[in-house]
Amino acid sequence: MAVAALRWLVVILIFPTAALADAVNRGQYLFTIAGCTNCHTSAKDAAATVAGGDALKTPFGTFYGPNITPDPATGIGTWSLADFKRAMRRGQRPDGSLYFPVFPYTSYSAMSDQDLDHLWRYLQTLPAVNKPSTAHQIRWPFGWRGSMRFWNWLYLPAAVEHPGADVTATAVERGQYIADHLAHCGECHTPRTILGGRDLDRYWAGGVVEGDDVPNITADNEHGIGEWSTDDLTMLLSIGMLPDGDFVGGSMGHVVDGTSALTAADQAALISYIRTVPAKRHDIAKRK
Amino acid sequence: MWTYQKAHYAGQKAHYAGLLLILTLTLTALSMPAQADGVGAIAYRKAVMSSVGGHLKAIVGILKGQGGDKAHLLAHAESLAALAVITQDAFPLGSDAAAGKTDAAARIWEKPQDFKRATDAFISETAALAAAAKTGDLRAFGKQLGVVGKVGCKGCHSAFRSK
Repeated sequence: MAVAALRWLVVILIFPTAALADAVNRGQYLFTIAGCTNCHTSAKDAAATVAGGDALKTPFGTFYGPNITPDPATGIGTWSLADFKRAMRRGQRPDGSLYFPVFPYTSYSAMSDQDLDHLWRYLQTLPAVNKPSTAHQIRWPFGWRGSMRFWNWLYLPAAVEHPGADVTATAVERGQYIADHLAHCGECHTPRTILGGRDLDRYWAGGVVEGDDVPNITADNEHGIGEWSTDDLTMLLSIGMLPDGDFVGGSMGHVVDGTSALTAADQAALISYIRTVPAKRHDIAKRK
Repeated sequence: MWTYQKAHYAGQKAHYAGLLLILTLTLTALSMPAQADGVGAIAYRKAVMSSVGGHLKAIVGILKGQGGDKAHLLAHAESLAALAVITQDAFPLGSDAAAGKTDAAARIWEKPQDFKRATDAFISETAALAAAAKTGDLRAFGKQLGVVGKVGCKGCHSAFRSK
């Protein structure tokens, strides 16, 4: 009797925390491969994780990733989980006003409920930093947030969970989920239309970010990565090495900080998906 | 005798002229780094970095069994360690994007201590790679190569190169 009671106590005490730690760990994994710090942490103050990032220059203005630490005054400390999910999937603030799509909610809209739960739990464990977010400097007339209602109608897909959120999905599905909805590769590698939406007819055909060419990563032999072997992709995703022995730097270097954390199964899945992306010609300077 | 002396004297003059020429050339060469334009420094840096990339590519090719001899890993690793020391001096003031076409970020010169820390890491990790090559333990060598890539190469490029 006493033994049975003790066993129950052990179960109650251990399993909830084990499950929580697991959720937090999962959340940290998602946080890492999605590269949240790349926009939300400043290179000048790398210790202040997601307390606000550096300038991102776009044709529409200069944007600053806001403070998303649990600080109630300057971060997202007063948010509920539902608020977080609405932000991630619908690009909406808790007060109903709209984010600008420099925040890649169009990519996150297909994230699963469970992944968003885990990510939220992990964010709760980060130290709260009291640091007001830097105001965006948006060029007229793009500063009107109401215009995003029209933009979202054009470019924001319905919030339908992608099957690849399940780790038991097929490798290609899982890889697509990682590429499109977590690591959001297309936010930089897919060129944009004049309205700033992703031009899906030229998916991954290369673009321009902050005045620099972003490579074509389709299977195109001349402009893309058609000539890369699977080994080449493994080397890039795990340590950042390009086929010619050079190493990626700048923002792609930070992206590789995320992809290098991928589990072996997820890395293989991502590569198998990359292999399925059809070749598209786009005259963007090639990296070798 | 007289003829001989004259000839000897002329030979000495030529000797002094030769010395003077060498001295002038040496002084010019020595003073060049101080006057070197940024374009030259950038070109030199790119040559050094290409050498680094070449050795890395060679090592990866050997490890994958694509070509080359495992016995050469040590030479490549030691070359990397030697080049790593050079990279620390390959970013003189005035060799930034204002001087010529380079992806080197302004942070190199804005945060010299951070940059020194990054290049120090490159030096110590490539030294460890050469040490691993000496032991002949391929697993340890491969593991350290990953550290060199992530910490030494990518770590520095992420923070200090624009792409």
